[in-house]
Amino acid sequence: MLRRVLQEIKGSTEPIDLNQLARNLNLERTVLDSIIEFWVRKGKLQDLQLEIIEAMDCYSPICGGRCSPTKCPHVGIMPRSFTIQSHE
Amino acid sequence: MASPPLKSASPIVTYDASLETEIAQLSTIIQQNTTLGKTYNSRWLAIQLLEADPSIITELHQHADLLQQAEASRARITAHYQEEPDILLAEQRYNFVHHLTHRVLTRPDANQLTWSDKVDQIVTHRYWGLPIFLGLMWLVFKMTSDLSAPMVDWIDGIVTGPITNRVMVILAMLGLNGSWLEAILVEGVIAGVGGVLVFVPVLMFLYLSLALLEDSGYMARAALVMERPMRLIGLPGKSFLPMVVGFGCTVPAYYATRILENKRDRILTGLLAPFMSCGARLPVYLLFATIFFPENPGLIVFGMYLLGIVVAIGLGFGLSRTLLAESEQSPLIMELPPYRLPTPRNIWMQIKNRTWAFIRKAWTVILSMSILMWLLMAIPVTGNGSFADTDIENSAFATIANTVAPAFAPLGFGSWEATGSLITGFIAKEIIISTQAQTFVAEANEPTEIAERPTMLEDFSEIITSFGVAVFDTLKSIPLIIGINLLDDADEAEPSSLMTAIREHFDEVSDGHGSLAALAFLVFVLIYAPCMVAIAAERQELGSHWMWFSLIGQTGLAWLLGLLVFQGGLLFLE
Repeated sequence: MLRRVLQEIKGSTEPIDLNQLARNLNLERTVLDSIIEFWVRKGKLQDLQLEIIEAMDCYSPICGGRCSPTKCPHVGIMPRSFTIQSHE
Repeated sequence: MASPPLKSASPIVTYDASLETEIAQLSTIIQQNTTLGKTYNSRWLAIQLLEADPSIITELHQHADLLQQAEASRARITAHYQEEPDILLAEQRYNFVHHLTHRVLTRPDANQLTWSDKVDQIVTHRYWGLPIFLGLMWLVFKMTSDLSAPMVDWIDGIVTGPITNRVMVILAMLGLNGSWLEAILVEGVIAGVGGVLVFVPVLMFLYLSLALLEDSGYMARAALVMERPMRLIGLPGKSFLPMVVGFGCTVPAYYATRILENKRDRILTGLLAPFMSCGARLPVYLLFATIFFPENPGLIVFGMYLLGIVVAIGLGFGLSRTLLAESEQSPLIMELPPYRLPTPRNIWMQIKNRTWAFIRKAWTVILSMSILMWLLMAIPVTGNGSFADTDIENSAFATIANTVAPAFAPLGFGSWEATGSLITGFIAKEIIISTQAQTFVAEANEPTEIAERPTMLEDFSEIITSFGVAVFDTLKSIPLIIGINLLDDADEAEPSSLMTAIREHFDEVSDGHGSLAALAFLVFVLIYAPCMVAIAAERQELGSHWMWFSLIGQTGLAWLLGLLVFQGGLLFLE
């Protein structure tokens, strides 16, 4: 089942919504979430939301915002998204 | 970590025979160890060791033999299955749970679409998705410009009326009227910072609209829709994230390119991100759109954002087929949250945080720049004037701006006033407005006599009364969103002295084609180099080579597109 999820993601040519993916694989959404988390831990999937928060930096004096990536007022709320790690 | 059961019951999950053999071998070793045998369930610990649980390995660091045995077991499993043991074990556990739940649970039809799914089929549709997104964005800018106009006029009235009056009265009381201190406060600080702060209501309405879209769950869908054009230009789907960040601010957008491992993708995304028009440019668009296109300012602002996207797509298409050859695409999975009613608390927090950031910027960067600009405008370089008593045309600022102004003559705005503001716009884009406000105030300022100034009570009463009128006019503006105009001529505010000055100036320098020159100016502002902090971030992320490529390329492209708008427009009009 774990590998089926990964294969389904690798085989998709269009972006997929997690709910749709759960339906395609006949899985409970919570089960799919834990499988996704497993693959992120294993380094096969990339959690983009997490990485974007880690990557972001700011210059507080010029932008006027708080110098914290999660609190940057200029950045809207990003949807949680994942992709295959490029070395895969 | 939950403590494992000590008693060895018969296993619930049974793994493949080869895995079970390894588990049994390790279990035996664990049971033979008196300390471990008493502390842990041997099967549970064996599985944790096979999965190479880092916390367990740390905990058992004194049991080197056991860890060695576990390592050997893992190597045998990997060689046998060509897969890591933890993946195999997890896979078989998930299969077990999946089959079990299917046997014992009866669920409603999992394939039945929810209301949210049905809406998603429309708003994220591969053909309708983009037009729906663009339509909503147009509505956002229309709402922002239509509803904020009365409040902008109210704040403008306060800045140029009561605030200027009080400052001048206080200075007169101190015997400083007519001094350079009065000039620096009125023509520097109030004109510069005040000129930008009048746009606070515009930004508040924009932040309100965006917060409604974000909190309702639509923005996640918009991100999904934006992903497709990224693929079209040969970028991986995840490049849409830095692009979306770019609509807020270009600086974090450059940093966000770090999520892309491939250097080529990072460079291409970084080169295109500044075309996503950042929030700092919005006040410039709105000021010029209101002055030159009062019938439809929202459409002009929306057009600017759209043009930025179109230019980015075109450029990305070209670059990915020339300098930066296409890389492999990677699939993307996104979580689309269910639609929900936005909560007032969330909405207010988003409006407050973003507006506060803008106000902080006004009182720090824009204030400092306004004072610097005033100094440059006060220092005479030509003519017979002295410090703070010179014609602005003879000032250091005008002299510097005049050296580049001729380059902009073919674009219809080859004056030092317009080009000077573009130069200061390198510091921050809002400074384009503060510089123009200072320039035109200094040129046109005819200070009224102190005796004519209203009293403090009259000023206070004016603030309250005009606020009531502004609130009423804002409410009357709501039907404008759907094209119903309830405002009569008396409700339409007179253009401010700054707006009139800008209109007359652009008409004059473009031989009567002010609207066309203003449009070329807006296109230039949209495309030319981002602010200096963004340039520094770009250098840090992409390197000096690509920073210069982008800086020169963007400014050159901005000039070309500005030329196309003005000269093309002239041809069209003739």
